[in-house]
Amino acid sequence: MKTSRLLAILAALFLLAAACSSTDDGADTADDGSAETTEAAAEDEPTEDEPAEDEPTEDAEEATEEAPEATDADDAADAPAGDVEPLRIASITALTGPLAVFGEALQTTVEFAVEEVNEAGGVLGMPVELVLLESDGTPDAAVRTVERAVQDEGTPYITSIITTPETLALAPELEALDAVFLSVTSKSQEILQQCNPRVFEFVQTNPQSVGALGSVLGEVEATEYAAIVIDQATGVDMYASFQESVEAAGLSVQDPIYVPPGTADYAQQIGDLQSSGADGLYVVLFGGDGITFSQQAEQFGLFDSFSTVLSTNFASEPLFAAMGPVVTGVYSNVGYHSSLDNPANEAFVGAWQEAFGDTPFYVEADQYLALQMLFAAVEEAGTTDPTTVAETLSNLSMDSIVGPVEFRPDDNRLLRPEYIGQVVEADTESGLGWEIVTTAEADDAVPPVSCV
Amino acid sequence: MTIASLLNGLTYGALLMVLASGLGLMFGLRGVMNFAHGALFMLGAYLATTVAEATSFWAALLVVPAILAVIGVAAERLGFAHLVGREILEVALATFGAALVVEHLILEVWGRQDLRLPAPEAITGATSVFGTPYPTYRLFVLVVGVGLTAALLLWVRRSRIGLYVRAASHDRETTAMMGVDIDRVSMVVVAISFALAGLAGVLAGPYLGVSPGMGTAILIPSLIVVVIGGLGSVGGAAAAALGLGLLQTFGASLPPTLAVFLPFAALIVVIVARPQGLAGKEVA
Repeated sequence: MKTSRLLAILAALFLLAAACSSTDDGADTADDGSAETTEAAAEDEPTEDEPAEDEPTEDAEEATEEAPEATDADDAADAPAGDVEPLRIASITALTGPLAVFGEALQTTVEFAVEEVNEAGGVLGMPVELVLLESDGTPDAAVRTVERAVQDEGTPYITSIITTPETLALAPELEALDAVFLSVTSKSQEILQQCNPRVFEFVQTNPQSVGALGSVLGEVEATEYAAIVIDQATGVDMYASFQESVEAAGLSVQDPIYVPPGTADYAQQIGDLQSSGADGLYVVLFGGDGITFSQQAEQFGLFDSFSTVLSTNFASEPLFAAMGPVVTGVYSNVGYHSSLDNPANEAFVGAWQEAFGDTPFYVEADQYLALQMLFAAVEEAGTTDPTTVAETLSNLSMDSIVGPVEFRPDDNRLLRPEYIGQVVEADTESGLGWEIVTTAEADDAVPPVSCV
Repeated sequence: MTIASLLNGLTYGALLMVLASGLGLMFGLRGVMNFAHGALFMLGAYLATTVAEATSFWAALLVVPAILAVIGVAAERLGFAHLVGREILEVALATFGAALVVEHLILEVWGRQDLRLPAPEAITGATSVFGTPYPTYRLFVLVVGVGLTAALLLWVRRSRIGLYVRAASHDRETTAMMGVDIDRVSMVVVAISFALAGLAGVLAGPYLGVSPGMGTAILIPSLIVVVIGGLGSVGGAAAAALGLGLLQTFGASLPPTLAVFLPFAALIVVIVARPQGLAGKEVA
């Protein structure tokens, strides 16, 4: 009896562990400001960042599905233009686990952008139709959900999928599905190296973001950096880019302390960092992992041990409240900032504030930017046929919310600047905000085309 | 191992001890492996953010376990009491389902973002331990964890109701035949188990953070602790918790891919060498 009880418990335990680790796989690769499970994550880890942490893996699951509101459709033009099909978009993202905070932001933005364009008359004189689907952050679920979106829901334009492994898994399927993917959070250079004509990269990739960070190395005090880095391919890539920048600046960086996503207690690593002898710190932790680390760094007074704290995708507006004032003074890449001075951004921020009462952060802005460019490409192409629209988008340039931008047709990379900011006290709900300290223009910071 | 490393391991172990004691106690008496224990821990942390914001952290430390205890009484009356005699895996799966429901309810109420639960001013900063400055709040967690577990062990070993708990965990039917009100004992045990999960959640807030994945993240090490300690043993779970805390601290210096397997490796070693766990079936 005792043995059978033990076996039953063990079976359940390992099933639970398997479920959690499977969710972590998705969260592990969150690589935007993580954008990481969440659950985050991670959770997530995911986190999300949680982990690790996080929700048991489940098959992709439809969250909601909606056609535009009747009133939106009424506001749009009365009838379709000829035989042209309406633009149909699927937003597929993780709404549980460490990435959930970013998944929610992405879907909120998609709904906002679609409602806005429909109120203005739609695209090609027809209301844009939107399908919201949920995935779990894992590559296989992403592929299945994209297939479902295209084949069952008739939505050839896909966006909001968060992680690099998901993007890499679905990319080879796009041509056969006659679909187009708008990548708004995956920052791996590996995506661009595929030079897939159906994948469009709207955000700054890791080498550009970390390279931009290198521009402040000469301006700050630290000469030797310790590093704590998430144990994921993205973290390894970012550290390698940072090491390159540091060495190019004649400074030094120690071997990184790698930590798994969903780490609950950073005390040991914090102790190691404090005794490293370095005067600068480089942090690559995303989403929930970043929050946990910053809260524990505060307990130990870690950041006070360094004259300079640099980071990539560590601190961001939606995380400030949970991180607290300990991150004041931290430098990080800032892909977008609501204070950007151009008419498109002023209109976007104004409308966003009216709708939500706060300013958009980079994940929301990047998603909005992608849809604005898609709408423009469809209008210019005069059709919603994915092949034609993809060709048009590849050569599109426009005055956007981040200023004048254009795609590089060889690898479908959006050429846009990257900003470096420092966290400062601000009159916001969290009490924190960004002060932009430098701008790395696309011409200076974007790596050349490198198709593999 | 430095003093700071030792304290890191002991503090994490103390938190696991509070969680695993409740889990082990409930398994010992009820035969229920409560997979919702992590979700209750999470609920405790989220409730604490609200209570602390409205009043203070100290109030949360008292109010939240009380709320969880009431929930425990309701769960016993409406749930566990009706599952007596069912296969252990059936009950475990029922609690697993309950965990999903509770976690989703938490996310509906508090949202999916991580929250911040600051430690009270009086126990922030660092305290010198043999010349090594160490966060005062972590020392507080260590003291509370060890103190609570010791109190729980004393209660189980010395009190009359503790005697009933020990008796019922060995033979429920005979204990009932001797005139012990098993339903009442069960209710007390489940309430204590839930309260301990809630208390651990409050303690974890300023220590590890408040995040949507915290329940599942802590559940796996807690279950490992219970199995290593001996299914149903509070004392065994306490010893295993401290051991696992130290092991995790040691593992932090290993490559992450190896470190994550350390608790499972310990579990396998114990199962092979001593399948009944460190303390066997002794509740205390």
